[in-house]
Amino acid sequence: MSRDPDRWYWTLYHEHEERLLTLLRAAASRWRLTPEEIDELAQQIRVRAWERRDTFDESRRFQPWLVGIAKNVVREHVRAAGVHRKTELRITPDEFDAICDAHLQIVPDHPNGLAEALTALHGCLAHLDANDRRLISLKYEQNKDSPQIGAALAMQAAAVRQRLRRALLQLRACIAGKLEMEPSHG
Amino acid sequence: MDERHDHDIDPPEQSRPESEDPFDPHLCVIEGLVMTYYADPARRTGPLTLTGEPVEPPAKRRLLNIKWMFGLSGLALAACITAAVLLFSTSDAAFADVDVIRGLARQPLVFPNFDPAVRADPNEYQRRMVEIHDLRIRRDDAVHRFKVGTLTPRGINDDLLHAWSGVYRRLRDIGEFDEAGREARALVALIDRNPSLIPYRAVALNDVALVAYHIRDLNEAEKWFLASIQQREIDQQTLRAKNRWDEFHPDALLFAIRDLIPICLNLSALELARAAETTPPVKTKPGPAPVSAARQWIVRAEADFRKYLLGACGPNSISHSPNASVAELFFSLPPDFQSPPESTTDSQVREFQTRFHGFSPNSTLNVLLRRFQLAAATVALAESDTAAAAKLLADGRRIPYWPIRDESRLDFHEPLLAARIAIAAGRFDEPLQHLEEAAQHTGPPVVSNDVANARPIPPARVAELAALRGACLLAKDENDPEGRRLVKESLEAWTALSKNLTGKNRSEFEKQFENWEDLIR
Repeated sequence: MSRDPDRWYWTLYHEHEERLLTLLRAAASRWRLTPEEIDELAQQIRVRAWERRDTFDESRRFQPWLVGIAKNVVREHVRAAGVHRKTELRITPDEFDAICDAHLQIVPDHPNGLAEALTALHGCLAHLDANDRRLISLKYEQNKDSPQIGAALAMQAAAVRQRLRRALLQLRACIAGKLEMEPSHG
Repeated sequence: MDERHDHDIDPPEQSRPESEDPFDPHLCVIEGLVMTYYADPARRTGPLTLTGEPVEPPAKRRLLNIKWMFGLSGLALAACITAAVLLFSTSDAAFADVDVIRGLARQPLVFPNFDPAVRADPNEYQRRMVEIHDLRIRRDDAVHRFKVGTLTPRGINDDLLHAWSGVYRRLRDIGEFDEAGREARALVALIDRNPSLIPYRAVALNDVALVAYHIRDLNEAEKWFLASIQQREIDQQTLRAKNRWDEFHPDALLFAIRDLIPICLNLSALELARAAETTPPVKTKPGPAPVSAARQWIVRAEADFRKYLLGACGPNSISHSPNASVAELFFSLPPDFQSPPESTTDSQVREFQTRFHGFSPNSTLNVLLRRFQLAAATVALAESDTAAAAKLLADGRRIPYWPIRDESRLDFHEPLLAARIAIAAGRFDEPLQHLEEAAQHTGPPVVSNDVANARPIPPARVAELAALRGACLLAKDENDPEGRRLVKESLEAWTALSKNLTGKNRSEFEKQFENWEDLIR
């Protein structure tokens, strides 16, 4: 029985969709995207990838191809945003490319790569100081901004941001260790 | 207001990027990973699946839409048709309702602590207004004496603060929510103008939050709860500095529990109410509700309890498992510690402190631990973990308990939650005994330290018992007339409350009942 090409494509796409969302979320704080805007962008990439599915060479890896599509969509998005709301724009295409490269370095590029990275993160969060863990939770789980977190933790917003950065640095080093990678400095 | 200071210094997030740090793509990726981690509660509460993907991520549902948009292959279409045929041929309406009912049992209901019958009865309403008037006179007299410096510290507590809180609590009881809110905020304003009253500020802030919470103004309630916690933390630091206690001093640990945990539990309940607002209707999406914010407050309360109990275990050479739960730690303590007298004299406290290296058991702590177990079980239930919920509740109910020390009405709420857990687990006979037990505790509490709080369970909450009993009957037969009648009457009792709410608060309040209405539609 011959393979259904559409079904095969969507299976492959679905395997990588969570990785794509993780990549877009990685750009979110720099870019100031809301979760809804991330979903919207993911939708555009999904549609574009579907339209271009014939250009995918099955002998090659899917993830870099999908990331290539994502880069193009983001480039167009940035260009459009630059015209309409230039002052709000916080990411350049080069920065997004750099995030894509870092993503490929940190999240192993195989079917269970994201699961491995998330498992490592799960363990690393457990090793964080309880206050840092709470800070991370308030920021990324409850989507509180720094002044709100500051109000909850009796800290200045600037101190929240500083502490958050230190906690993320700790997580980066820990995840790198767990995934047996050398942490990149940049 | 103190809690706004940071907002004054830093412009809102919407007008300025979060990060002013140099661009670091690796840190961005870590942020992306953390966001993905928190996007799925299963990742935090259990082991990850091999692919790290949730069972039914939202993206997957969108994916189906795209498939439809672009046209599916014949095979996929046939599969969908086959699945649809199978779905309708193997299920019936009664089965679908069971999922709805189980979902309803997971979602706690938030009611104003108010009896509409009081407003409907002119005599009773007048009696309450006279009571409030008397309290206001007592309060105003105390305020005057305070201003001229003739009010004793005891008078500040009894005549000024106690009378004032009596005013707004009674106003709340008769549904005068706006006025109750104004009174509570006026007390905070007085405290803010008089540094000698600062020790009472956290309580007043908590009361303002509770008024907002009861009219379902969740954002406002959260703001005041957080301000109360912030004040408590400042109070704790001041107390520790004054007494030169380190953070592990028994009294420092005890005050952390006594003062902070009740607010954490309030915030957990608030987040559950908020999560229920954002959860899709239970009939279309059975499964875990987004309750992670509620869990965060449970985790914090648990950490404080753990710290106290580990402190009590440690110097007393009590062994315990490193992964012991809070309840297990409690039950590892000596029997005298687990079951102290209902009230302790100063000499008994000193004796306990000598025996237990500075720690002294007390009945209030037991009630608070039991309240914590109830709150943790409620969150676990909302997360669909009925086994964990049942264990937490059962552990809590083993803790020695004095109704005289309990104003939170555990005697009613514990069996109510037991019934909800059984329904959520798909057991529709078991809840009846729990509901019967709860029904026996709807009157005023046996004894209360404060008559202002010696209120019976509000009618809306009593109606919840009938609604759940009706749901159990409907789970067995969706057309059961008694089940439909019980749910219908409960809905009438609930919607009667909404007349006292306005605008968005009213629509949010009524939204809670939409799925209940669907059950008998």
